Amino acid sequence: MFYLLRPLRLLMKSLVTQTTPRQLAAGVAFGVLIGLIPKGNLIAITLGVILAASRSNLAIAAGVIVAVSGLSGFFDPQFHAVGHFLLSLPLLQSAWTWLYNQPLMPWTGFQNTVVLGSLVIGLALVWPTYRGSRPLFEKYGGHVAAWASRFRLVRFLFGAEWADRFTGSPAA
Amino acid sequence: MRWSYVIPRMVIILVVWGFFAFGFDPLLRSSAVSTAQSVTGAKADVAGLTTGFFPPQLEISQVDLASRRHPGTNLVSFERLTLKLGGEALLHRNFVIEEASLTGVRFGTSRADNGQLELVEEEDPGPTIPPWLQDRLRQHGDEWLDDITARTKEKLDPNTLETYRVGNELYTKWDKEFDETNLAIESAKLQYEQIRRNIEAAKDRRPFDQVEIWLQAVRDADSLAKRSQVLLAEFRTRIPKELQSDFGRLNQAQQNDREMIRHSVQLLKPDARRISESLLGDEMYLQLQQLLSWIELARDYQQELKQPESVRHRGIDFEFPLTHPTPRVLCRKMQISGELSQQGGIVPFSAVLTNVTSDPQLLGKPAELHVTTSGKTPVRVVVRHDATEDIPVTRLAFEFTDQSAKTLTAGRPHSHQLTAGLKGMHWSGGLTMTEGQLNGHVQIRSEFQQPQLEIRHRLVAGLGDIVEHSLGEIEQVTARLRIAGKATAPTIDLESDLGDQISDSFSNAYAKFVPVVQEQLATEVNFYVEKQKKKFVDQYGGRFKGLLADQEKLLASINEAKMIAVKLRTGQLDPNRVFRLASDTGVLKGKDQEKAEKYLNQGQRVLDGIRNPQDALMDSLPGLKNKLFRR
Repeated sequence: MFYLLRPLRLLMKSLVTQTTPRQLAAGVAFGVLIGLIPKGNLIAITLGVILAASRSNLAIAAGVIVAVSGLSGFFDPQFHAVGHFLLSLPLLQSAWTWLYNQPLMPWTGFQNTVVLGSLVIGLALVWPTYRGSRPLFEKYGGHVAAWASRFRLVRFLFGAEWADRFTGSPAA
Repeated sequence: MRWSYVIPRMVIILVVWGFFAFGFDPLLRSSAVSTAQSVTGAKADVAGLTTGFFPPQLEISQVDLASRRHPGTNLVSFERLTLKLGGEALLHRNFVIEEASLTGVRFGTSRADNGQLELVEEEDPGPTIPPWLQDRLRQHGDEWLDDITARTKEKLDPNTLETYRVGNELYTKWDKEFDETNLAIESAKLQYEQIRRNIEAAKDRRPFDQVEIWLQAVRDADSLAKRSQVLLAEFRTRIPKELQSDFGRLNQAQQNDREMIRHSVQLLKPDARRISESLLGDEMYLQLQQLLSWIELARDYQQELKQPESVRHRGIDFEFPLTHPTPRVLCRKMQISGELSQQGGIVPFSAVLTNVTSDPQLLGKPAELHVTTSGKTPVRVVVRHDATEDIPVTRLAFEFTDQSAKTLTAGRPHSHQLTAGLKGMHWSGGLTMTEGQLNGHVQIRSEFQQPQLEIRHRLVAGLGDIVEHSLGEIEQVTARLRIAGKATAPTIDLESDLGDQISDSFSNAYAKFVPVVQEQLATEVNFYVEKQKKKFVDQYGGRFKGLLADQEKLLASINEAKMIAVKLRTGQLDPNRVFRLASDTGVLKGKDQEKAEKYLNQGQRVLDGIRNPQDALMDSLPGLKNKLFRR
């Protein structure tokens, strides 16, 4: 039983616990970036792979992606304006053309105004988001862990002593 | 390395791998089913779908697309579709099918279920034959044979001859003439009888009244006699003259009829075009319809490919120039094989489809479909859709030889009917469609066999054998159907030497038939005219003589009365004559007659005395004489 549950316990640990405020903030930053970009293109997939490869907190990233994706549609006009401006820039035409002729590049969807616009804006938001969310996690990280430990599943997987250690109370 | 890092990433990799290994193909299959169902409007069954990435390929097995219009039947089904995609093009987001294979294609196979997505009321599928073709099929009925027999009958029917018309007219005229004459005689007789009755009635009157009545009677008789004389004179002189004139009219009508018969028969040549349309129209128009449906199918298919891809609502895509431009979708070559229904049987076919693309102008090559069927009647069809220019042009060409025998029929059984057989029909044709404009032709060449013509009408029956013999000399027929104009209402022109040959056969037959018919009709006319004349003489000759005798007798009686009247008017009345007339006419009875004789004798004696008073006195007064002159 122990061996069966161990992988699940480790997965849950990586998702919820044993994360630093930096990893949580990175997760939020990645979540905002991926969430803003329309899905179904190679850019979104690539960013997803990078997110998975990074040591960011995947759980918080997934949550932010879902939340931001729902809101990103409201900002399409702004994304479109930025993307259209960039794709229309004469200075960049040769670069775009060269890029467009490279293998796989058409699959990225960079030639789409909303994709490019949301990518640029998303990239611009990565650092501010990271910097803005990090102090919050540093301040409220403990509360998050305490909140998580209240769930029966978490307590079951991690064991009571793990939960007590995070909450600071001795095991019963 | 910490497990807390590795395990989540491993899980993600496993999930992604698992999706592509086990979820991608079913998802794609489900998507394919949905797409097919939305296109056909009926159930689509896809047994299996397998994708391969290195090299990129797609394989779909056992697909059955149900027919919405025919429940329980598949529109099309195939066993396997293999698509090999070009990797290089795919990297540039272009779907180039380098090679494809579609095997086991069948049309109209039956299904275990009804194949309908939901129970919906069957929509009217609309006419399978376009309205212009239906009109065309209606127009070229086989009434030409009825027409020709009817016209022949009409032209050669003795009842329509002028001779008959004139004869009947004369009968009517002379009936009326004699009736009027008869009426005049009867009227005169009545007047004569009235005069007699007046004389008879006068016997009971006083002598002076009697004389007055008689005077009135003879005045009437005089008037009547004059009118009767005029009538008799007219009857004697006018009638024979007019009768002679009418016989002349009858002879002229006879001559006119002969001339008309000669001309009419020459005008009876049937319309070659109508014959061609009647005999070959159905086959050729339906073949044309088949061609049009193929060409429409090709164009619709191309149109489907040209539909914009799923519209991306978010933003717009910039199209940057490509170093090696390639159409977004392109099928360079697809081998197709299967079975199709042909002439009630199933025959194998193979086809090659090339250069089907979403951007023909970019490709610069037209799409082509070459279809060849095996079996008893091998068919070759080539469809070429050239959309490389702004105005797409679709061309279709086909060729096949139908070895089965066909029977051509015109007319109706048990009436007038022409039947013949066609064997070894070689069909060929070509059709070009440009922006709703059609231009092309369908052509057949065939052997012509066993013509039979059955004509029921008595006068024309002899014509059938002669035409049949003449048709027997036709060995081969060709026909060409030209089509041009708008696809919705094209102009169609059917030309065939069959119509000309049949028309010529009728003409030749007429050339042989006419003298016979002419002779027959001339004899009939002559016979009729003689019969008419004899009947006329028999019928009216007797009446004429009778009427003439009546008139003469009446006139004689009236003249007698007239003579009395003349004498009365001049004072030369001979009483004896009057009494004699009265006696002759039966006016006086026997007793009265005796009295009349007595008074007549006494009167005579008085008159004699007036003429010789001495003798009369002596005779009348013997007693007095003896007394006065005693000797």
